Amino acid sequence: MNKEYDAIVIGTGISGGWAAKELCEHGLKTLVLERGRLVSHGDYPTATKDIWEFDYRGKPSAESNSKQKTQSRTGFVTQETTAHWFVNDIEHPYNETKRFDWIRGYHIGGRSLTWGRQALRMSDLDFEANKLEGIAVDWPIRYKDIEPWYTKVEKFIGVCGENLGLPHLPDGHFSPAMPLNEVEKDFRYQISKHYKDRYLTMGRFANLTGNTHHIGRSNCVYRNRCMRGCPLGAYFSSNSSTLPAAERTGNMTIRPYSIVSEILYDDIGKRATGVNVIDAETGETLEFSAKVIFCCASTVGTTSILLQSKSDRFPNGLGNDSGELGHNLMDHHFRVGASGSTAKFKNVPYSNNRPASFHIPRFRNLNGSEPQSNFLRGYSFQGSASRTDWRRAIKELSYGKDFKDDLLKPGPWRIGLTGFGECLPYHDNKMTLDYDKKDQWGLPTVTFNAEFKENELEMRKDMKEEAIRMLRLAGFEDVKGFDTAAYLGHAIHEMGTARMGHDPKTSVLNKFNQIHAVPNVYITDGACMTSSGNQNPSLTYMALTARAVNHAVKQFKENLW
Amino acid sequence: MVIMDRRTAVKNIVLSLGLVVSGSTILSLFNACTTDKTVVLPEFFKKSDMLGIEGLVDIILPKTSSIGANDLNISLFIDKMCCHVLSKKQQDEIRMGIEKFSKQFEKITNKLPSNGNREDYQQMIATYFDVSEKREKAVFQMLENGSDELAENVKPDYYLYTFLTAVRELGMLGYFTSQVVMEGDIEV
Ligand SMILES: Cc1cc2nc3c(=O)[nH]c(=O)nc-3n(C[C@H](O)[C@H](O)[C@H](O)COP(=O)(O)OP(=O)(O)OC[C@H]3O[C@@H](n4cnc5c(N)ncnc54)[C@H](O)[C@@H]3O)c2cc1C
Ligand code: SF4
Repeated sequence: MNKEYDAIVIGTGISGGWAAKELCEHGLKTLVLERGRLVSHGDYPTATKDIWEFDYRGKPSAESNSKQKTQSRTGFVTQETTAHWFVNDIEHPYNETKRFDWIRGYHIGGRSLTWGRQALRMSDLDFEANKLEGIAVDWPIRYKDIEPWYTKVEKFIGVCGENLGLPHLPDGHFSPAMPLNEVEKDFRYQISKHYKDRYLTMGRFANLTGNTHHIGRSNCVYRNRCMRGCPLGAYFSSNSSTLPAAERTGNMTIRPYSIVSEILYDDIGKRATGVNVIDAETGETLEFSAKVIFCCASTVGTTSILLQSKSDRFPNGLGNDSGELGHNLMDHHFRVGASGSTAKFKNVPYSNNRPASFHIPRFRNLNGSEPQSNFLRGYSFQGSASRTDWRRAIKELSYGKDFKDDLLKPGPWRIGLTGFGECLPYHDNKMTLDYDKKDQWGLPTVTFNAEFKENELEMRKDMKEEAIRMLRLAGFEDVKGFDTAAYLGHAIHEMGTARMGHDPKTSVLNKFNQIHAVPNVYITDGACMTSSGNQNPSLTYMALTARAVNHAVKQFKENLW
Repeated sequence: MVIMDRRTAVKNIVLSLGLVVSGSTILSLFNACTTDKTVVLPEFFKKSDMLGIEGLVDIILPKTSSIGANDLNISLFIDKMCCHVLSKKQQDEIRMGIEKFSKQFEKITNKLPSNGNREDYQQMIATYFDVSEKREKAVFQMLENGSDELAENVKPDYYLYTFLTAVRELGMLGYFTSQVVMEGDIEV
C-alpha cells in the first residue's frame, strides 16, 4: 500500500465524508482512515426486516445490554434494529469523573448512518453571542462567511423543509417539506394565533423529496427506519453520498480498521508530516505521510488524537499552545418539555412512517425581543403528534375481549414537545486522557468531567413552562410537563474541545479551521465549535469542512506545503 | 415489501423465535401447515409453568372472532423473552412470582394450575386484575419502586404482580407486534 498521499482524512463520519469528497474532487490523492469496520452502502443488515423478524421484537437482549451499558443510556440506540451501529462499551471503555454519555459508532460512515437528519443553519445571533456577552472567545467567522457553504452542502445532501424568512434560523436550499399531520397543522394554527414571534414549521431533514436528482440515491418512501441504514440512499449518510462521490474521482484510498494514534509533527518545517496508525485487527503500526491532514474523528476522537500527539514543540498535545485543547466541552441539553392529548381528530387516519418531526424555532432572547432575566441564549422545540398504539395499555390491568378489540384500533392522539437548549462554553467542562488506564491498543482512555450549570438549568425551567403553556393555549388536554435529568453527551451533539478563535493564546483553530501553529492540520468536526447554538450541529460541521477544504486546496496548489 | 405466502410465514415465525423445531404441536392458526408439526421446549419456565402461562394469556388475549394469544404460541414468546431479555434480577423475581401464583391458584380454585380450566383462570385474573383504579395505580407504583425497600409482608404481592404484569405485557408485545396482527390478518 502506498504510504504517501496529498491528503489524509481521519474518520469517515459526517465531517470526514465531506472532507474526503471535497479533497478528491479537487484532485488530491487522498487516504481516508477509519478505525472501524467496512460498511458499504447497502450493507445494512436490519434495513428491510419487519419487527416480528427480530428475535426479541427489537428489544435488546440482556447479553447485548451488558456489552452496551453506556450506549443503552439513550434508551433507544441499542435496540436489535440498530445496536450494531454502536460501540461495545467493554471493548471501548472511558472514565467519568462526572457522567458523560459518549454515544458513538466505529465503522465506515460513523454516526452519519444513525443521525436524526435534522439539518439547521446557525445565524449571526449565534456567531455574535460570545462577543456581545463577553463569554469565552469570539467566533472568528460570521454568517456571511459560511452562508455559501451551507447552500453547497444542502444542495448536495438534499434537505427538505420550509423557508420562514427568520433572521435567527436562516432560510436554505430546500426540497418540499414533509407534511404535517392534521393535529400538527392545528397546533401550528393555534401558535400563529396566540404568538407574533413563534412559529411551528416542519423540521428540516436531510431526506430526499422533490425532483432534484442525486446520483445513486432515490426519494424517501417513508419507511421511518432510517437509523438502520437506507438501501435507497434516501437520507444523507457518508455511505450513500459523500464517500461514493469521493470514490468516483478515483483519487480516494480508504482503509478501515485503521486507528490513528498520532499526528506526526516536524519542528523544522513547522508542519505535520503524516500520521501513525494502529491496525485495529492485527495491532500492527503503520505510518502514512501527506501534505495536508483533515482530522474528522468526531469531537472526542479528534481531541484525543491531538492530545496524544506530543512532541518537544507541543508537550501538551498538538496545537495546544493555548491550553484550551480538551476544554469547553458542550452538548445541547434536552429531554425537557411537555406532552398532551386531544379527543378531537378521532376519524383522522394516522401512519407513523414519516421520518421527521416539527420544529418550533428559538423565540427567547432574540435581537429586539424582551431579554430573559434568568438565562442567556435560547432553545427550540422538536415534536410530533401521533396516535397511541397498544402500548397505551401497558400500565393497566385490563384484559379480555374488549381490551383486545380496543387495542387493535389506533388510540387517541398525543402530542409531545422536547426542547433543545444551548449550552454555554465553560473552560472547566473538559475531557482529559488517562495514561494509567489504557485500552487494548495501548492508547490512553478518555476521562470526562463536565456538567450543565446554572444557565442551562434556568433555561430548562422555562423550556418546560413554555411547552406546557403552548399546549394548553392550543387546547390540548391532560398536559404534562417533564424534565428528565440532563447529562452532557446524551443529546449526541458533543462539541467545542478545540475551538476556533482569533487569538492563538485562547483558541486552538483559526478562522479556516487550521491549527494556529500547524497550518496544514485542519479540524472540522464538532471540536471546532466556539459556541453551541441550539441547532442540531452537523450541517455546520459539513459547511465548515467544505469551506476548509476549499482553503486547503488553494494552499496546496500554491505549494505552500 | 413482498408479503410472504403463509407457509413461508410460518417457517419464518418459527425461525425468528429461534427455537428447536420437531415433534407434534401445531401452530393452530396456520391450517395449511398441518404436516409441519413442531414441539418447542421452554427455555426459562418449567413445562408445567407453561400451562399456567397459556391459561393466563388465554384470558388476557382470548380468541374471539379474531385470533387470540394462544393461536400465536405467545407463551413460548414470553418464555423466550424471560430467558434472553430480562435481567437476572427480573428473572429471579418472576420465578418467585410464579411460585406464589401457583400457591394462590390452589388456594382459590382448589386445583393445581396444570389442572385448571378456563373458568379457574378467569377467576384468578379477576381476583388480581379487577381492582379499583386506585389499587391499580398502587400496584404499578409498587412495581416501579422495586423490591429493595419493601416490607417483608408485601413482598409476595410484589412478586405475584411482577409475574402477572410481565406475562400480560410480554403477551401484548408478542401479540400486537406479530406479523398476522400487524398485517391485520386476524379473523378466525
Ligand atoms: C441517534 C443520533 C441522532 C442524531 N441526530 C442528529 C440530528 O438530527 N442532527 C444533527 O445535526 N446531528 C445529529 N446527531 C449527531 C451527529 O451524528 C454527529 O454530530 C455527527 O455524526 C458528527 O460527525 P463527525 O464526522 O464529527 O463524527 P462521526 O459521525 O461520529 O464520525 C467519526 C468517525 O471517526 C472514526 N474515528 C474515531 N476515532 C478515530 C481514530 N482515532 N482513527 C480513525 N478513525 C477514527 C469513527 O469510527 C467514526 O467513523 C445524531 C447522532 C445520533 C447517534
Ligand atoms: S424513511 Fe426514507 S430515508 Fe428513511 S429509511 Fe425510509 S426511505 Fe430511507
